[in-house]
Amino acid sequence: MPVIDPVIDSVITWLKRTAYIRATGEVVPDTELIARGILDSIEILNLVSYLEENFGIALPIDEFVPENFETPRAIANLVVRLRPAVAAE
Amino acid sequence: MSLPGKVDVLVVGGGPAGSTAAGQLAQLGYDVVLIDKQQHPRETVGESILPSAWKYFDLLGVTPAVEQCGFVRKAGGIVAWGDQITQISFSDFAYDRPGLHVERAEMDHVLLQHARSRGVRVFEGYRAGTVLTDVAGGATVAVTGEHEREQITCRYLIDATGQASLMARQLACRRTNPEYRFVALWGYFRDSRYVDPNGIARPFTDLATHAPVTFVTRLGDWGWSWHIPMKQNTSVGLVIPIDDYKRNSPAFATLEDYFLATCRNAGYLGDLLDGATLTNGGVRMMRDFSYVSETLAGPGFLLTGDAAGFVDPIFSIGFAIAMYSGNIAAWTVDRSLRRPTQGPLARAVFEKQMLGRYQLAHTMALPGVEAVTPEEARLHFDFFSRSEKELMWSAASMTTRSGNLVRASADGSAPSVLKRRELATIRFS
Repeated sequence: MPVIDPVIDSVITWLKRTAYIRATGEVVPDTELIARGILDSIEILNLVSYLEENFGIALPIDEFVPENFETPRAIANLVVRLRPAVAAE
Repeated sequence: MSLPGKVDVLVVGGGPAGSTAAGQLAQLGYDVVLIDKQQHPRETVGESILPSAWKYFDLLGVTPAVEQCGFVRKAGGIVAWGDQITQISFSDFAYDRPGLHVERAEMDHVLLQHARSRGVRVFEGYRAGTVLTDVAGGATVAVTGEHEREQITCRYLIDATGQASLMARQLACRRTNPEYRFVALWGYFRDSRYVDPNGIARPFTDLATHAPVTFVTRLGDWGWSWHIPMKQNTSVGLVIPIDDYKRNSPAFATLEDYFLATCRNAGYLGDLLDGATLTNGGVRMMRDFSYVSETLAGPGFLLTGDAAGFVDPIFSIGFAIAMYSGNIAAWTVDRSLRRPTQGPLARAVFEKQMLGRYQLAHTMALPGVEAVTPEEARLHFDFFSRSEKELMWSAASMTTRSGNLVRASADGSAPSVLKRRELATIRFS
C-alpha cells in the first residue's frame, strides 16, 4: 500500500487539474472514472503522456485497455506494475 | 501567401477532422499548413450531429462560435422500423446539451475559420497529389493549385481528405465492405413537415418554437431513410440495397424521378414530404457505402475521419468520429514529434483506437449479418461512459440491426436498461 498510495494521489491530482469533465464531488481511489465519464477516450491519451513522463514508464500497447484505467487505483496499479523499481523501494 | 516548401504538419482536407487536428496542433505551437481542394464554405452531406459533439467543440474552444450559428437543435430521434415506432431523448442519457441539425457548409467553415485563428495557414483550391513517405518519418507531398505547383515536405502528414481517401487509395488499401450492399441518394426539400419528440408531424414553420427529432424509417428489408430538418430546408436521404436500386431505377427517366417516387412510397416519409419541393441542388448519390483503410497510420502519416473509414451513417456517428480522430491525431503527432522514441507506440495507440471505433460503428450498423464481433470493437465499447453506452444500446435497439452489438457486449458490460419509448403512430393533423 505505501508504494501505491503516492501514485494514486498524483493520479487524482492530475485528474482534478486536467480532466475535461471535472469530477463532481470527491474523486477517491475507487471512483469509476470511465463509467462516470470523468475520463474519456481522448483524456486517457493525455493521462498516458503524463504517466509516461512523470513515472518514466512506457505503456505497452497491450496494456492500453479500459480495465487499466477504470479507477485511480487501477491506474496506479498499472504504473507500479510497469515500474518494478518503484515496487522494490 | 504562397505555399511553403517545408512545414511541421501538413493537413490535407478542411472538414471537421482536418480542422480539428490542425487547430489543436497550431495551438500546441506547431507550424501547420492545411490545404483543401475546394473553397469553403462548401456543401457536403452529414447534417445530424449527436450531443457528444459539444465536448469536442469545448476542447477546441469553438463552442461560442457554433452557438452563434443558431443551428436547429434536436431533442432526439424517432425510428419507424416496420410496425415498431420508437423514440429516444438525449436528455435521458446525461446530456445537458442538444443534438444539432447543421448546414455542413456553415459548420465546417466555422471549424476551419477557428483553425485559421489559431495560426493554421489555410490554402483553398489546392489539391494533393503523389505522397512520398519516408520510413524515417515525414512525407513529401505534391501540391497543385490553379497557378502553382509545389512540393511540400512535412514532418507529419494528416490525411483528412474524406471519401477521396488520398493515402488509402495511393496505398491501394481501401477495403469496401461487401456486407453493405447499398447506395445512398439524397436531396434537400423546402417546406417539408417534420416530426417532433411526441411523434406529431408539424409544418416546417413550427421549427422556431418546437424542436424536431431526426426521423428514420425502414425501407424494404434492410434499407432506411433519413429526414433532417435544418434552418432553411430538410435533408432527406435513402439508403437502398444496391440490387433494389439496379432493379427499380431503370424504369425512371432520371435519378431525380426515381428518388422522388421512392420517397413518396416510403410510408411516413412520403407523408412528411407531401407538398414539399426538392431544391435546385437536385439528387446526389454515393456508391462505395462502407469501407475502411487497412493502413491507418505509418511513419510520418495518419488517416483521419472519412479518409480512414466510413460506416453506414444510420446512427449519425460520422461527424463525431471525424472530430475524435482529429483530436487523437493531434495527440499522436505531438507525442511523436516531441518524443520521437515514443512515435511507434503513439501510432499503435492511434491505430488501435481508430480501428476499435470503426469496428464498433460497423458492429452497431451491420445489416442483419451474423458476423463475428472483433475483439477491438468489444474493447473499444468499454472506453465509453455508462450513459454513452446506454445511448448506443438504446439507439441500436430501435432497428433490427442491433444483434451484433448485443454480441459485442456479451461479457455483461451492456447496460440492462433501454431508455426508449414506444409510439403508436406518427400523428398527422
